[in-house]
Amino acid sequence: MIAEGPKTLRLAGEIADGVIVGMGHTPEVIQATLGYLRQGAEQAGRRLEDLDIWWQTRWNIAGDYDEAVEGIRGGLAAAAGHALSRTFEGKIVPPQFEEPIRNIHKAYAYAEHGSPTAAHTMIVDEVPGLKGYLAERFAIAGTVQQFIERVEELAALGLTQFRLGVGGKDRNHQLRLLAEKVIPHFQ
Amino acid sequence: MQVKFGLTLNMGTPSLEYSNFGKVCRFLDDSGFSVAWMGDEQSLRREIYVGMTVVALNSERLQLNVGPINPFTRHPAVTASAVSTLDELSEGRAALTVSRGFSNVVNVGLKPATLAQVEEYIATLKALWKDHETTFQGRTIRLVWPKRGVPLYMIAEGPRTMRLAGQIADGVIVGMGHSPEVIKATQEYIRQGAEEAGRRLEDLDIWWHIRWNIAEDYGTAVDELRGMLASAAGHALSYSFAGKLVPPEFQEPIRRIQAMYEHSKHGSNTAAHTAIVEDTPGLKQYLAKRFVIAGTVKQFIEQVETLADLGVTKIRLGVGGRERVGLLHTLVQQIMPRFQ
Repeated sequence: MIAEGPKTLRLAGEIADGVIVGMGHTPEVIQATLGYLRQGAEQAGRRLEDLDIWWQTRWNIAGDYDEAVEGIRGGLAAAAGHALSRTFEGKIVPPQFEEPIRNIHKAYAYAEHGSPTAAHTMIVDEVPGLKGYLAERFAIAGTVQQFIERVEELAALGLTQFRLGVGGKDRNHQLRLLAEKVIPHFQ
Repeated sequence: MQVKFGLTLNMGTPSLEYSNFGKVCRFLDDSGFSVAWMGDEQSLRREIYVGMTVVALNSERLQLNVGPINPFTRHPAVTASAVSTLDELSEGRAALTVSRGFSNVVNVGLKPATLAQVEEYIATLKALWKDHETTFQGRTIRLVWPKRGVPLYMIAEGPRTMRLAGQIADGVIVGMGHSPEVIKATQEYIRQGAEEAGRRLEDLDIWWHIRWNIAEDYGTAVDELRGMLASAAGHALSYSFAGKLVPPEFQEPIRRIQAMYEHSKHGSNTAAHTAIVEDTPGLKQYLAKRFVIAGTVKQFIEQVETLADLGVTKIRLGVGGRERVGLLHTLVQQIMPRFQ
């Protein structure tokens, strides 16, 4: 199952063989995610370890961190648009970003899902600190070196299976960098 | 005299198993077949868009005609997106056939669509391709990416559907049978619809759906197809007999076939509904004459010649006898060259 909030994570823990978790991957969100999954699993007489867990992340490799984040603005707005939709309960959203994220939901143009130029994406740019926060929570980005360091940090927190979502432009080049320079570090 | 042939395929069945299916597609493409259809039968057969992808990757000329599909089991935006993907992948060879549905809807607890629902579904597809946004059942729906649509066909087995197809479709697969009087009536119904829409009969790409078999003699060839004869009676002659030219003496047994039709045994030679075809004197022969081309190679050729004289020059071959691939080789080697 795809699970982006506490209720869905608990249900996945109960009934699914595996789960793609999309609530983000800051340390406190990781802890919460695993907690919800465990609750569901134990309710069904299973263990967290019985589930095949994949972590959804947006990603980009570029000349520097800012450029990499800038390249996936549309993906970050999409993350705010659905991973944090419906309710904020149990989703660990900083109070100062709740209102702008609600505005993204209201403005969300589904015909432009993931677009870097959609009106809802502009909100990500305009609210101080929001882009940085969403990037930290929902993306792995930066130079090859920064990308590797971030994956190492996340692996230390138990994230060992990544589902790569929308990347930056020039997808083929990005995949080649990933295959040649990043993945070998983790084999 | 030129006659074109198209056929329906089911990937993953014993004679078209996965390991062999791509090779069969290449053979059909190289052998001069014009169209491949895959009927949407989720409950009984393998998934058609997966199958059509294999056909696309193993052919260069065949038209890839998805269907018949029905208006219920796939949302029109899903259908339009799927068919357009196939169209891009195959560089413009995709088409779509919409019908009211039969076993594919009954096996998920639904009833076949009304003609109005078929018309709405087709209009929605056209609008999605043309405007990228339209209203379907009161909701706004979108399809942003396809650059164009694909030709739309309808299955038509009775006067009302034929008239509608004449009005709105790019092509039509006619399934009311092919005895001389049925051919004439079919053409007339489509013409009426076409003229109502300011078009001509000739503007439509008309394919005649025909069950077929080749065997050592006519009786054996027909007998092997009895499940399909029952199925023809079960849907081509269902709903009303009005305008369908059914002899009075067969109306009651045909109604019985329809009443007891087991959709989980669609096309089966051993289903109880199929037994009625055997048990009613003269019915099997009548259905065979109306819905089938069968017999030895020589008899098959003569029947196709007769049909071509009556204007039936595009033949959609339905399910064949037991040795499907072997029969196709016979068709390609001994029959099709006569009609190129």
